[in-house]
Amino acid sequence: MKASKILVDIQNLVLGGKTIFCEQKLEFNVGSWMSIIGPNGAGKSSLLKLVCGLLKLVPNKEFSGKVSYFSEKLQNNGELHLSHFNGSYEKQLGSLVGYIGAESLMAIDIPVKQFIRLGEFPNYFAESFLLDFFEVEPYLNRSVLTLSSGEFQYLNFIRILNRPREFIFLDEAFSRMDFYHLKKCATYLIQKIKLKEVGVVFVSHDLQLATAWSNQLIGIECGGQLVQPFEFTEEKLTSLYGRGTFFLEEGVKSGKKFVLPAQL
Amino acid sequence: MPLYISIKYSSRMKWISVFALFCLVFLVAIFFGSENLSIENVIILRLPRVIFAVAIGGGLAASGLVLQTVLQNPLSDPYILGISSAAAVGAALSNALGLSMHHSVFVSLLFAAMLTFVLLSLSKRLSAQGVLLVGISLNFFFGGLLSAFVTLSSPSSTQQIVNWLYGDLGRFELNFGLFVLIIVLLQVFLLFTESRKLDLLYLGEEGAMNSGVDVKRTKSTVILLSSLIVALSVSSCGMIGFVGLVIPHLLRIAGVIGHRFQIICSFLVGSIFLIICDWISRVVAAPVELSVGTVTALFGAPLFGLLLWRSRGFRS
Repeated sequence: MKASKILVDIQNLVLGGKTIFCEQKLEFNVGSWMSIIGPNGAGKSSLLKLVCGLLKLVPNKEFSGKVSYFSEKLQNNGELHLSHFNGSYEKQLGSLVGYIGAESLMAIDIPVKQFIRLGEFPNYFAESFLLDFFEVEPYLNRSVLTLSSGEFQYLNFIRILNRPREFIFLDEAFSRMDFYHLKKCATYLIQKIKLKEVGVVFVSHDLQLATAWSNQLIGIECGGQLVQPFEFTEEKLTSLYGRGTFFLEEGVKSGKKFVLPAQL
Repeated sequence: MPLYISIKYSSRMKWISVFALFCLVFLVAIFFGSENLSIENVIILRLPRVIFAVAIGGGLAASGLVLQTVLQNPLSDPYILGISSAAAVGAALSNALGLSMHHSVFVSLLFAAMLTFVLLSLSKRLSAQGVLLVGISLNFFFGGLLSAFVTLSSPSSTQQIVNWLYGDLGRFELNFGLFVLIIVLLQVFLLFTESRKLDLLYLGEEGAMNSGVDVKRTKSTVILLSSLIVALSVSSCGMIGFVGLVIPHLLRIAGVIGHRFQIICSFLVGSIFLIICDWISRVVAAPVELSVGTVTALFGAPLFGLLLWRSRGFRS
């Protein structure tokens, strides 16, 4: 069965003695590009990892709180205490959501072709379409350890796509890519969104990118308060990030607002 | 699918060549030695040693490989978690109590099983690095106990313990060797069934988890199976170092990638390595026999150093 949405209801999530979220409800939909913005430490990455079932892997931190998940694809929908997470639940979330962080590490020297095939678990899909679309051929026989950080991000993105999933969560996943590769990735995702095959959740500090393709914008204030929908105005941005940080200008060609950092 | 076919083809060639080498070394080790023996004597004297070399060499190499992956540390070897030291303490205790060799195996296994149980319960709460650090501490602890046993034992017992510590493949008869081989093969097969999940652990625990791997379960399974292999190997043949650390690295240097292939190759190459070392230990100073652990270190360390030197991956 294919999922069309994930509903997440978070109650009093405490991580390492700090309250990350009090009471929040979020809805992620297939066919939409949701961008999440906010200052450092507001909880953007924690939110994404929480939905993917990865949050508890942060070492030496104590967790408490309740999270309710609802999705057509999950077998045991409902309220879940974080300490009750077990392998099978994370496995289900893993088949629903692909998570790409900015800092991915490769512990061992393997060729790129093998690295991309790691994305095929649990079955062999061998998506030759992906390899053609993303023009991966020149990389295939190179060792992953010889890749630049931007190249690694690009190929890691393709690895995640190698397993068909309803949601792709991007946590600063394009931060090191050049514009050519960034455009390739965005084009692919936008096509999939139009076909209602995938939903994207995008966390970035680059506000231009965050607003470029999204049809839903959410702000997270320090203390974990969600502002949804977030209105992209100078006043709201100032309130989110701090006084006098930005000013907005209107693009000459597109008429779209673009954001500039305030002069020092 | 050109990518898929090329991987499959190269794998098949490697399978065939490694297996052919294994068969060749196996036969040479049985039929050639410092003196000519009748077939009956070959079966009684040489075959059990070669069978033990296959079981222990292969088992240690395969468990070293998977532990390096699960603990995410290239310096991990089967002895790093302290299972071997626990088994050694069990054997030293049996020696002090005057138990027979078969009983000594049982006591060693019992000690190793207790430690494995502790490690398994800890592995559910700790990260890979945490398990590794606990294992190293336990290794030191049991090493201290062993040292105390050696110091307090009589000179003859001390000599027996020291001989046992350096490894000896010729201590038991063929039937027990076949029993150990079957158990080790079963454990290696179970490790083999985890190979795709182990591949994904290259991405780190988080990456593996998001790829649909139950990391905790995989970690526990691997620790349990490798601990059993180590316990069986140490309790029956003593501590034969170097195999579990070096063979996985040799295979990586040779370009063997992916746990499906690496586990089988580690088993075969580990067996080949130990058969050769055992053969050298029998032949090089005949009629005196060197302990196999001495040969694995003396023969393997320079070879490994040379290969490391020639491998670009390890240069700064």
